[in-house]
Amino acid sequence: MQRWTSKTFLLIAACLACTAFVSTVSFTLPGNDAGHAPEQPIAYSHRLHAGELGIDCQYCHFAAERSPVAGIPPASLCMNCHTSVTAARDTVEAEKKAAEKEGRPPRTIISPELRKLYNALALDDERKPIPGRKPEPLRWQRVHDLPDFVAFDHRVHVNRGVACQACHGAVQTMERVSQVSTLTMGWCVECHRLNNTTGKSAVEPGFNHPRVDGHVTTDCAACHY
Amino acid sequence: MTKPGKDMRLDQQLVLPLEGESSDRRSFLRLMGFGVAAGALASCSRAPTSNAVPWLTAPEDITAGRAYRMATTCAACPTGCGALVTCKDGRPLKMEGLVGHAVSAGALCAIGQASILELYDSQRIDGPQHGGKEASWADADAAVIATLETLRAKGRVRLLTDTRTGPATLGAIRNFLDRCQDGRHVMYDPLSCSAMAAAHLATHGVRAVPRADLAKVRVLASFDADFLGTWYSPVEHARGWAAARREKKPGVHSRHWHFESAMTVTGGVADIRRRLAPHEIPTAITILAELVEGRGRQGGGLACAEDLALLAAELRAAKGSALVLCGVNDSAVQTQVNRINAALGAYGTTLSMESASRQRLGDDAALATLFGELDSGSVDLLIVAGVNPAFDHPDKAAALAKARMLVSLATNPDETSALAQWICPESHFLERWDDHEAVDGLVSVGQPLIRPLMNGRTLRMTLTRWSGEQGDELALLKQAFESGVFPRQKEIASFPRWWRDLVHSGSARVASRNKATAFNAAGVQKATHNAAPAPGAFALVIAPKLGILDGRHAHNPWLQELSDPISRLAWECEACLSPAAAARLGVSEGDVVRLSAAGHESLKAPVHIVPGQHDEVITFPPGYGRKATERFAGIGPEWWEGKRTLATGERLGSNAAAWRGVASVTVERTGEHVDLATVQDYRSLEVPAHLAPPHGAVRDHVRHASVAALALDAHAAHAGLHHPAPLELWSPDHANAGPRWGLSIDLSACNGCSACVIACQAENNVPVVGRDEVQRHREMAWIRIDRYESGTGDDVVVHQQPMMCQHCGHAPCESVCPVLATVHSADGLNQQVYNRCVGTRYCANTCPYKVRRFNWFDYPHEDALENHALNPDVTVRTRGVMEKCSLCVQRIQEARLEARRLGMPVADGDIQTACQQTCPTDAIVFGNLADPKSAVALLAAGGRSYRVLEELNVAPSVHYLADVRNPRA
Repeated sequence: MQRWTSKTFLLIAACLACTAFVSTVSFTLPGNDAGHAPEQPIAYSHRLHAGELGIDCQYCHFAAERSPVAGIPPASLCMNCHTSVTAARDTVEAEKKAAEKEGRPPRTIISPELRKLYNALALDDERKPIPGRKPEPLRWQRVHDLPDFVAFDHRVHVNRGVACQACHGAVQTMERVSQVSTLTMGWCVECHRLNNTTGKSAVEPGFNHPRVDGHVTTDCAACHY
Repeated sequence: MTKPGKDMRLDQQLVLPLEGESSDRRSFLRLMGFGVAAGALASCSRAPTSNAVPWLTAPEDITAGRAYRMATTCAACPTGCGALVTCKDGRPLKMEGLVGHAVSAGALCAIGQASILELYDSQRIDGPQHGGKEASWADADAAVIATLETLRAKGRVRLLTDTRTGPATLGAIRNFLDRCQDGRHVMYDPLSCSAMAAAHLATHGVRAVPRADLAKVRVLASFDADFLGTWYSPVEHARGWAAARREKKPGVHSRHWHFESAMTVTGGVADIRRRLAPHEIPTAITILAELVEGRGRQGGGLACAEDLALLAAELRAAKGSALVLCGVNDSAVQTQVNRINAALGAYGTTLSMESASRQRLGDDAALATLFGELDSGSVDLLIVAGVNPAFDHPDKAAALAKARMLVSLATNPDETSALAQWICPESHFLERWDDHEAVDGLVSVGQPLIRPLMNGRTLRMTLTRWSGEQGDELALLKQAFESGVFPRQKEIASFPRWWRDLVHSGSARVASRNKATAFNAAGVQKATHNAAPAPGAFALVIAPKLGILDGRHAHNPWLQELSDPISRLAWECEACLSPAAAARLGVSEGDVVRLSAAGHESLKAPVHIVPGQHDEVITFPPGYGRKATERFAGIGPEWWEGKRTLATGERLGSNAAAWRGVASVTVERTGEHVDLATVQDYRSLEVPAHLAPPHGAVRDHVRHASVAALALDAHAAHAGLHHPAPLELWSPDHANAGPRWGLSIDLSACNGCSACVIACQAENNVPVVGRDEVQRHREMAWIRIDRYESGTGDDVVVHQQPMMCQHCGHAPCESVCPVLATVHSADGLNQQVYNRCVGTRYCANTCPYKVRRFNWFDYPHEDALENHALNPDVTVRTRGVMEKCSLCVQRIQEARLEARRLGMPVADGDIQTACQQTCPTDAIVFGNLADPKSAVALLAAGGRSYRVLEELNVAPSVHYLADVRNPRA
């Protein structure tokens, strides 16, 4: 009995190890998290804001042009619009009509997702601070998360005319943001080689690999330090 | 043995041997197989996602991820240097020198650089404590105020602090003490300049330490004043000293004479250095005074009598630009020094009484009076802030406990706070509003750069509350400045504007309250020749070590692991002897000796041998044996052969404070031996006899020349230099379009102050490894200051040589790396790619400069609070990878990317490495060697420039400027 258990165990273990190894090597490279789309504390829709409403990426991610990081907007920035925009238009219209019919002032409708934002800021329905309540920052899940040994700088890419979508994909069509590019080193270097005046590249320029003016480095220490 | 069961955890199953089965091949396979499978499965899943937590309401001027800089004043010691603190996302990360500050002029010392770590010290006292238990500020205030109420009519209240110079702070102290019937403020400095101030009271009628402007000095004589290392304003003095030295023409070049008993950084880099026993200094000064006044007296039984005559002649010839400094804390001797300086016309030229130094205001006589009162038990309330009297005066610890109520404002538990009923901690200077007047007429403020991490309070606020006053910290400070300081200037009429400028630039000039007074010869006292130590005994010199000083930062691991620029030891409390003295005692390096003197418990320490020290002198460092060092028990990686830095409860070294003033000690061997943790085994420039050719040989990696020789031949320092064959690794058509980064290091400006070493540590996340690892030569510093010496006795010359990765054009490390983890960049950097490195260590073995560091372990980054001191721009390296100086590539990248954003080229001087930024003598210059007009290229093309081990044809990018001294022909 003891013998049988050992053998089976060993066999299963070996099979598992092989499967894991093969699948890891052939299908994904280390660090490739393409498709990662974590659930966020607020079901914020990039499709609605960036796509339908056409708000510029850098209205919210305003650090991108002058900082290494693009930055996640502070909640106060959301309130620039969401002080007056509190729910979807048809719900507000419906309430207005209903109020008109019933001959009463319309109630403020707060969408459930926006209420989470107000809660974070400790604001009531009238956007007044709730006494005794402490504001609590929103804890967003990082989608694009590079390893600690890589330094990526948004500012230089944005100012060189690389579209946000070249790396982040068509975010304006995404309901929940997911990682499109692999963000592996090979993927970065492909574009850098294309634009490196001294290097040679087989890659053709395209949306994902734009051609920018000037010398682009492929030195290790450009990103690794 | 426990039987592995199904309710056991997986990891327990894996480590327990299975019952009934010996450790055979099958069980090994079984365990391994499962281990691999588990590992492979684990690697399939994504690394855990991290959170991104933005602000709710963003501060207006702060952009996420972008560094910003704020001016403040360093309060790590009372010197009052200006600091510019680099912050990111609301977190101070790096102290830099504040350019344009009147005291420090853009530089900081090693201690200032290290003080950022203390902000994030999780062992700081967090809020008031009563009898070892946590209490609230309200309780603490109530208890102290209640005591004060009972003392209002009669009762002795004493406040004991280190030097405090801030006008608002001193105002709050006065206000507090005025409410007490018998209240007095006593200041003392463990490294005292009290005698200098007392001497000026006698000769000039003002109790003040004059401010020295060394940039104006052509002939400088120093008697036991370590003004570049441990004296009262080292950054300011080093700047001036280097400026005077920069002119390299005979007749114009300065000359620095140094007379001392121990070997200090200042003595090591002097032009002429003579050894003088401590008891001989009063005689030497008196003789010099007479010689300078032209009333020649020769001899005095001193070996250096002839030198004193020559010095006197030089000083007289350089009247108006001559200066004599003396570090002896004896007021009679200091009055003699004043007499010399008055005769030399130093007052008003090289010495200023009008804008006198306030960096050491301590009064030893007042302290002695206080101890008298404490001894008699007549002090009712004693408040101690910024000092540790129970450590500095261990014989008075019992007297301190006699105070009816003892309140300590210590930030970290210390010997005095252990005696106190109440601990009301001060906050760190980076989290509070602060004020200083380090020099008369120069006020500076410190501004909080982070919300307090610990529940501390400034001395100013604490005393204001205890005076029964309420009010906001900033409002009270502004109020004090508006009424007390603002009227001392006339240029700006509006206070808000003046205040804004003051906070923005860190400091402001106002009228000095001191008046220059004439020298009064009647105040000069006769300096008595002290008795020589008994035959066979030694004179004991308590010589502070740079970095540790009086021990107030002894809890800072960066400063403990900083190898001393003279002894090159880290984590050691060593007694130093000259080679002759060691031979006389029959001890060698690391042998433990016992110091004894009548009335003192004996003191033990390992011996370190220092050529150039006086043969009758033994030195012992102060600041060791502090309770604060108990925290280092077990520091360093844990492994089977690893030894702890200290045993639990043990302290680093012994406290020699009680030995101050003991002139003569007997030294004997104990027979014990310790292996000292040194970072440099070989220090002589002369090749040892058994390795040298018959006529002897000198190592030429430190090149030097005299001013006279350099005047005759601009390339004098290059004598005998091997010019390498012009071999070029790169093909002639190799495109070198971009910059080629490099450094130039001036060896005649470097004095070994080690500010660069700590600056690099803070900038580049260099870990602390502990004593045992240092002993194994596994210290991690990216920049080290090698110290080489030549000559013996009086003629010992010390050269300090900062050494870091030389970023060789033909780097030997690059060709041996099997995984291309170290490769060359297009702009001339030798890059180290951590994520590629597999740790073969071939590169370190082949490096001729021995500057590569290997991560033998994962050095602990367990303390979540302390990790906030890490620079987010630099990778924290893991076990098994090689690292070395990157020429601060993160700063190069930042400057380049910012220049690209703005569409401008990177200008010369835009990029400063961390070591360069903090260097008080501007010895290090970084720049583009490919641009012939850049500062670094001009220096590299000069006659003094050479490269270390140039004959190897590795084409280093670091250029050294030969050390130029100005000895007598």
